[in-house]
Amino acid sequence: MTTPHIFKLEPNPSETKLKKFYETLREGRLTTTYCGKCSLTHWPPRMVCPNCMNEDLNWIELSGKGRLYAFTEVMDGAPLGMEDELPYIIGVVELDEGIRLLARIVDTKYGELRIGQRVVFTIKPRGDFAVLSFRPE
Amino acid sequence: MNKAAIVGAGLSKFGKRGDVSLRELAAEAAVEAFKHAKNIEPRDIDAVFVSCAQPERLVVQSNVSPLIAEYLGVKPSRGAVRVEAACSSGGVALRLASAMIAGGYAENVLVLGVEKMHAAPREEVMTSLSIVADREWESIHGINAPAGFALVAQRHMHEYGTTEEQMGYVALKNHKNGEMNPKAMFRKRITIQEYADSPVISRPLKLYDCSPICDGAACVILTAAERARRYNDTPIIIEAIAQSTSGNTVSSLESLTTWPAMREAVSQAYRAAGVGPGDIDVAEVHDCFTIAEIVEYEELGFCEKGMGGRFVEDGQSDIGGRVAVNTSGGLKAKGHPIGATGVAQAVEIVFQLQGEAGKRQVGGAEIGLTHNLGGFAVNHVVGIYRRAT
Repeated sequence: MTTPHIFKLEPNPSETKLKKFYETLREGRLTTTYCGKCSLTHWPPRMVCPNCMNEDLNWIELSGKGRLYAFTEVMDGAPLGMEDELPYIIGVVELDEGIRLLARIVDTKYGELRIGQRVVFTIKPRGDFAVLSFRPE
Repeated sequence: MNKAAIVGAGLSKFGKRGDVSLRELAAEAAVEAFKHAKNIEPRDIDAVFVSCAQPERLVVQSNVSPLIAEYLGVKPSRGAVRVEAACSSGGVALRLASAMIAGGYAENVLVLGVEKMHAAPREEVMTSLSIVADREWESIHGINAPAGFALVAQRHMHEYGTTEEQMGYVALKNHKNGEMNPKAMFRKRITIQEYADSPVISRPLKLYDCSPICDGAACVILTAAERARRYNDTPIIIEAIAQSTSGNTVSSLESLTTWPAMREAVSQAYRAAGVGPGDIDVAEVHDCFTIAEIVEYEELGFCEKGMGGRFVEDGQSDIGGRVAVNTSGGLKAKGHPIGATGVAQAVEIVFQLQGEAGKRQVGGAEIGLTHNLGGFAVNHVVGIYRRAT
């Protein structure tokens, strides 16, 4: 028996100011915020620049290309709602822009991956949510 | 500044404790702490810090600090509060309690760490541990604690040539120590073959790389150092306790294998206590996963960067080695009830410095250290303790 949980882990795009991020993500585009005042690309995207408190930020599209910095295959202990996805691969990707982010690594096998390998952005559906993912280039 | 001293220390039995409720578990540790001290009773306590990370999800109870104070018969005229900083909650509670004493805000402070993790269904516990990460940006990918530290392990192996076998030696050592601790969850030695054959949890980490889900409580009673002899013949002085924090996401970390926030806390603590890594006789460090203990040897200055695997392999962190690390069995064998851990580390150091650690006693231990980590290595608390002279 599983205790019902009230909250899904996936955010509701209509309950965040980052609605635009989730809309473009679902279209298969990886975007984030950029502060023109300090020429800083943020990750994760945000509503205020952590460097200068500027609230007038621009949305930019990221290259979606980078290298695999680290990865693991999760065999056990998935959070509620993801048990059926086991096993799955999580990786830290270093984008060509210099940003490091956590994502799912898909369309591959753990044994075929190596640190430093080129990867490209893709999305995988989970219900009506698009999971930010990367696959080998 | 008034230094704080520990005059009472106690621990519940750690393990799968289906026989007690959260408050009863807390009371086991508190009763032992009052017995360990002298001339002090619950009514003499004027402030309470309860370290408990996720009682809302794990036992469906919030506001646990007045709840536990009431159960213990403590009337905290100078306040009771719960502290949450994920797995470092206990260390943070201890630091805030020390600051209360240093600042003259309270005289006798009870610090109680407790977590009951086996009552909730396993999936709930896994979700609770996952949301320590940033839910919107990281937990949604299904990251959990083993996965976070698996990434650290892979990078450490890649950058420094650390081996799975070396990680295994951390587990072997801590199980060996745990066998000598009557309060430990696991009181059995393991072999390197058993380690190697244990199931994979998150590659490259195996079951025996991971600390267990555990129920347990730990308690210390603090007072000002100058009053401490009233309550204990051998008070333990908190010479320094420092905390440093980075952001929560992996994006905010400079590297997975070098932890600047830990270095900052370590350097603050050594400086304030006037000691260095070579002075530490006994240390309780945050071995939530074996790789964490290896990185921590390095960040504490016990060995050079990248040499943590060799350090444990050579027996330098054994009892009788250069510095005895995790004599209690550590999180790995003693157990890791999240909110209790940081306080339990201090309890072990108190017993060691008082010469009361039984079979696992480090001969002539005078200076002890604790390191308590929270989140994916983003929050670090480092304490340095000395027997009052």
